Amino acid sequence: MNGFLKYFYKRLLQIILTMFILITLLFFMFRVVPGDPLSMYIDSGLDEEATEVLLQQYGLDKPIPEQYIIYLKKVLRGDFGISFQYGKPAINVIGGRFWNTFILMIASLFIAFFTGIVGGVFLAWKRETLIDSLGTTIVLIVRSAPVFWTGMIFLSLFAFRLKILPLGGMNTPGTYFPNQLVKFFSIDFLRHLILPALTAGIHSAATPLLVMRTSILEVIKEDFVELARAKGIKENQILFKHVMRNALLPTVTVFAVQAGLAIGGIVLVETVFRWPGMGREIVLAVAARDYPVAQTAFFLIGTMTVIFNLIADILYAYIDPRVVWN
Amino acid sequence: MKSKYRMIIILMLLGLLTLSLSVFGEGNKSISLPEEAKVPQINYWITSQTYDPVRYEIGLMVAEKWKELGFDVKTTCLEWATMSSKGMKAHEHDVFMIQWGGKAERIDPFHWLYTLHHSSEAASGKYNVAGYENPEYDKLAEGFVTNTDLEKRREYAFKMQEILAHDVPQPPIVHRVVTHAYNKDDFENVVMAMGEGLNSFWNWINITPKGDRKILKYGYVGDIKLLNPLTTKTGADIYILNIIYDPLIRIDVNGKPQPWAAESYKQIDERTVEVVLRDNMKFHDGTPVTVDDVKYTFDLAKEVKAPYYSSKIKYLKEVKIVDNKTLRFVLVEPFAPFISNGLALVGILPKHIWEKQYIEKGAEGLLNWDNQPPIGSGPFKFGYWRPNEELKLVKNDEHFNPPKIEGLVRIPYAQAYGVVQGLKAKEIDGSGWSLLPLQIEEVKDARHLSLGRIDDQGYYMLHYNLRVAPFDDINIRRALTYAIPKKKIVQLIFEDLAVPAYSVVAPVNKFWHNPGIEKVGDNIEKAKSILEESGFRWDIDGHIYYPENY
Repeated sequence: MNGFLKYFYKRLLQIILTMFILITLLFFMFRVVPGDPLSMYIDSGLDEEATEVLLQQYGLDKPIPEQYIIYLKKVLRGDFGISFQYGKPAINVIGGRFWNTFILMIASLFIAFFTGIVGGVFLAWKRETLIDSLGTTIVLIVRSAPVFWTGMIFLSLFAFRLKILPLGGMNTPGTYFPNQLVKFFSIDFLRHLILPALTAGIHSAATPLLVMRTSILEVIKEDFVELARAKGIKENQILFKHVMRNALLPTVTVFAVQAGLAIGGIVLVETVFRWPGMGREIVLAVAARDYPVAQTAFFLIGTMTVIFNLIADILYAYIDPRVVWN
Repeated sequence: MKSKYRMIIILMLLGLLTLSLSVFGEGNKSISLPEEAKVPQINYWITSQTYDPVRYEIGLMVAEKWKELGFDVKTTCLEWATMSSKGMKAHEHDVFMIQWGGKAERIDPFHWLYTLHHSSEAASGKYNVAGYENPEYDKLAEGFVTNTDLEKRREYAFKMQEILAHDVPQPPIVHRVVTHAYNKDDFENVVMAMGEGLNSFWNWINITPKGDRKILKYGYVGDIKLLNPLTTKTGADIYILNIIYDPLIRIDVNGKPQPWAAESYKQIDERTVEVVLRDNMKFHDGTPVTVDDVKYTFDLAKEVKAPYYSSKIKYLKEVKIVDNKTLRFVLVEPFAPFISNGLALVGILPKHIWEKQYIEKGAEGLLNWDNQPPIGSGPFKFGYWRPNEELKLVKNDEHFNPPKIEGLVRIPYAQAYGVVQGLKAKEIDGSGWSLLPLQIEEVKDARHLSLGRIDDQGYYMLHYNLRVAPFDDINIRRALTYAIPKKKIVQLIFEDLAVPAYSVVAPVNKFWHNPGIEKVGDNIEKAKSILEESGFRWDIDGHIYYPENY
């Protein structure tokens, strides 16, 4: 247990350092880009006085180093500032969208890893047959296709031709929900979730699937499999009880990486399916130079990636008894 | 034998070639021009194709014509925020193109004629992007702003348009035909108003359901940002705030100011407007609208420098309450557009709500307040808003001019193509997003849709920079502008869903537009002759040079 504590502290320190670098990068990244938050509102004809008041309000009238110090202090207190576009705390802007994205992401990761693991096992089982090569090819094609393209194909098929699923959005326009929870558990919501989750899901299913297939092919050659066969255990049982458990390890690592990558894809999926999530908000915030919102969103994504990595590490040790804490 | 002939022929040919080359070379030398007389390269900024396909195509067509005149044009695609802050604000450009929106408050051409062209607006951060400075024009512009006699103002406006058409500091190129689609099977009495189309206030109170479905679903690209009238910076927010809050005056479909929350108004002298408030108006929470609310609204908007209102009410000195129905607006100096730009824009806020917030939060806190639910006195009440999902407004039965529809759901799409698909699939009943030719083609088969059309009073405009060469030269500006193929652009890019623009005040704005001005454009021959007559020279490769002793 001492080893675990030591490991834990080390990881904690690492996380703190990572977050600090992330926070700093986020600050400078947006300020290096030309353009400023008020340039978006040219057509509205804001006059000089109003512009000055706004800059002051945004804290952009101060020199960059001073802005950075203020920003650091605020972030430590969990304050990401007021959104330039929405005139309310950035965390509230993102907060509302975060859960929408989170649900979509969880749904799509579930699809990805479910089809990935099952499909990987299946293809490995059918190794070197026509099914295997056909399956691998299809998976590669799906992964290579841009996710927005797949989304549009799904839309035109299921929403336009067959008319069985909605065009986009999170619920049928004009539906009122007393609160978020009721919304997330409504049938209407789930119907809207299917296409975007499927699009993002099958797109990221390829990596776990291929990893799973490869690692099963490796494990299957091991002596203990031979031994199990010799003991007369059924093929099915060998596959699921012995081979799969051992082959899962690399897939868990992939999970962490994939979860981070999934966000990138989800930005596009959200745009195609009019999903009111964080991804669309990021695009808007960057275009409008709404630094607080963009920073908050990226901060959350970064934090999520870090947490997923941590989970993967812990899971890894849980699944593989050979891993020791140090 | 044969090979000998061949040799001779080859030698002769070679000789001929050398001769011609040397002659050619001599000629080249004889008209070679000094490098320093060369007209400098033109840095031309356009936006990317994905940002606005139309602007991109126009950009390329214009650049092509300029190259034909011998100018060295370097076309660069910039992202909007970059172009806007470098060009619109810092004025570091040579030339770039933007699209100016034609909202109702610009029907009085103050923005077009004064803000965009008066020399006091030429500093960086202000709106005379071209840096146009013309004392004669300034004088007319001041007359236009300070005179309260409408006919007199119109005379000024006509003369100013004439000067701008001749001097071309920043030429308009085309006015789109605003094309908005709606479901004609379920709704009627649609109003397409100047500059705003279906987004217009008049549409919302006139559009009538034909059947049982009385709630209109309305699509747009992008959601509104916020519902606090004192902090909003976008026209899209204003469209919605405008139906929740009642201003004293509204600009009617013909562009004329009409009393609204005011029973009547009159100009007392050139600096004072007297307004009589309408009787029996109530806010959505049931409290009556009083002169105190009106005064408080304007005082507060001035104090916090509400961004969208600030430029329109900056000449307001004070609001005086005369009696419990009457107010007087006193201006610092005569400012004629105050009625159409100020009184017609600022919606009346309920004092009891805002004062309470002000005491709790202070001025700064008020600017970060989300004002939900917004309580106004307008024909629609706030229902609910789930950002990026939908916004619902419901009919205010107690309003003096209640809408015919029971409610309005505004659905934001991420892209214009989403709007088009939504219209086709009846997910929405209409959209205030103007359709491009390709998108119109796509909705053609949808029998339930009808297209409303009206010429835009806004336009695509080229902003030259008169502070730098070569745009400091009027002949070059005139030649470059004459070379712009406006009619071709209308035909090829808009498939005739646009009209060429020659004046900064659009023809659709009948009262203010001067039809008699010089129509600069569509004539490359004229462009060439302007340059030739003013002594510009070209080298053998067709590059253009300044006149001798320039």
